[in-house]
Amino acid sequence: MILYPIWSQTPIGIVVGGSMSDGKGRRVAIAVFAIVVMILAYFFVCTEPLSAELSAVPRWRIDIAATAETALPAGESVEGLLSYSTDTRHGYFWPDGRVAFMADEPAAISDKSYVIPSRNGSGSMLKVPGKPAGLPIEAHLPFFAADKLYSAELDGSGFAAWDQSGRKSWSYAFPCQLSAFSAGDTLAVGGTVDGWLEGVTVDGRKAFSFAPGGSRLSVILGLGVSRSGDWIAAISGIDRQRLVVLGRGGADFRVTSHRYLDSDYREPVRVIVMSDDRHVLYRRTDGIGVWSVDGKVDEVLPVKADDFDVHADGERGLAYLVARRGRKSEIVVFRLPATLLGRISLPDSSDYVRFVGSSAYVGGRTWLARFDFVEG
Amino acid sequence: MRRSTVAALAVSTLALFVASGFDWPIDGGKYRFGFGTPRGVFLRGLEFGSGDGLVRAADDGELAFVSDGPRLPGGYPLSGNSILVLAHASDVSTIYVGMESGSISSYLKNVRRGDVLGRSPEVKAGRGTTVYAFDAKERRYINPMIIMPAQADGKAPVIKSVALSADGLETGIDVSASVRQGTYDLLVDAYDTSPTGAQSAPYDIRVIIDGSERARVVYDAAWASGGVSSLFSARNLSEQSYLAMDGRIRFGPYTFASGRVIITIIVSDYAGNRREQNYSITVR
Repeated sequence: MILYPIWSQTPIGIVVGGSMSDGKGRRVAIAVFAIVVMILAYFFVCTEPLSAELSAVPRWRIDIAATAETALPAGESVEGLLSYSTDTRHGYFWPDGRVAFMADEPAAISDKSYVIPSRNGSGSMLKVPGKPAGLPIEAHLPFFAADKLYSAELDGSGFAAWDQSGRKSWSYAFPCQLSAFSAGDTLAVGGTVDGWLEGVTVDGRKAFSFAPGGSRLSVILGLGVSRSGDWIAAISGIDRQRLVVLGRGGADFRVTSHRYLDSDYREPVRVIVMSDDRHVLYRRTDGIGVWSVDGKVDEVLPVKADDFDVHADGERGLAYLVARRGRKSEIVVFRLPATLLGRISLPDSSDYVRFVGSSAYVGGRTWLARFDFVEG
Repeated sequence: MRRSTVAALAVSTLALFVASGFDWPIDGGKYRFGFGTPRGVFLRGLEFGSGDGLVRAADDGELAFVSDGPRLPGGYPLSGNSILVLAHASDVSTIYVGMESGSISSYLKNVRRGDVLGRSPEVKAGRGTTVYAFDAKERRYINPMIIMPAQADGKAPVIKSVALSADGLETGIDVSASVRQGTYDLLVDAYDTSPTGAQSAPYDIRVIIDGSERARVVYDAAWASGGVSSLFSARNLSEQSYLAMDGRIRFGPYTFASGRVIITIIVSDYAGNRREQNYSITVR
């Protein structure tokens, strides 16, 4: 591994004057010695590893067409399948580029199951890939979050959780419409248009409610819950907008850090609590903000994005950011908190981007490709 | 003073405060379904469907939130693919759900009454644009009819059917009926005809048994607390217990001893038109 200083590697010149008294000369010598010691100390203490060169290696690219769903081939199981979806198509494929099936209709989908919403008077169907027969389910607006099946209430002011048999486990009504939603393994949180956060446990009970306040107009614009359910980050309010982080403290949640923002968003804003339970990414006008739950990190990734998603590659200490702006999208690789390592532009038709480990699966309506990030 | 009475007074006070302060946002008030109509859930606003298609700001206000797309970050699907929220000087916010995607004036931050916010889809069978009035101070929806200009309405509501239900068994009542003594829920199917001719919710329903008023609901407000949806400021009824799966309204339970029981159902609309129906029950 090559080491290099964070700071500039420009040589530092030291010029010593001509005639001088002995006392003055000693002071200069001590000063020169001190500077040399400081420089040496700097090289040894303030260094960080330079990442090995990272390359995106193409593995395969396939054209995809709609196919009928059939039983999985002998010896294949649901376990290895990856879900694929765009606004008009859904299906499953294997990491080696084989397609299980593709259907020309939208669906709520996870790697284990999917729901075809009702159409033409027929009800919604809950299905498992490889099993063409499904179970009827009364979920009108189904969606998956943290691998759990939920459905939105028709007026947008609540949600319900469903089990794998297609039965409603519980439903939860909020005082008004949701403007933000996020879920972890043990907690789902709704942010409301009147500026409240309300958490719901896995069994449908109220976990907490909290109004960040502190702004002229109250609204929750963005919300992220950590996978563990221990951290919640939200962007709230208008004039001024705030980023607020809540952490689990016993049975309740309390504010662990917050900051005011310069933004004036009136639209949904992406906020993500990363899987390390420490870093929060949020949309800013000047890039993507990186904040730590304790408020000690406050950085900006110079990536302009209307929306983004992030995947942590824990093995390499890297994070892959999928940034979208209009029809343009790119993958940005960075090391936390905000060391940008590289970026790759994606084709305009890249409606689907998914990471598994250090592999990226990118696709449009008619194509799908895989490339792996490798060091070398 | 009881909490429910205070809540009812709060709704009345708010109505007085903002009365005629709002304009009809769509079609001059020709809504399809009114507050309380069963639309999968208890409709907490007014649903519109056609007309000139323009959705206008009900009052001066400020854009608090707008989303024009099928889902929120985090995956939550938006019914009707859009939502727009205006905060007004009174504590009431107006919420517009289901405007046509791509038509929404999301660039407007401060709006004047009558400014065009977007287009409402023309609807034959599905859902149109729904407008909600939300009292941000009390955190409850209020019936928009209360704060919008009054409309001419000469038609009385209709009582389609009344039935007694016990242990999953129903006995329909057609003017008169005979039942065993016991405890029954009263299931009422009633509607008011909306300005577009659709079957919409009434505003006031009273149940009188043997001359004594046993239940009264006024469709003035709806809210949620602790995940449970509640209705009517003076009653605080759970939506789940009030609205049957098929959209009928549930009252009771009432215990009937042997003898003759007279049940009177009085249904009124917001304009005050009233339908009264008496039912004679012989209890064995």
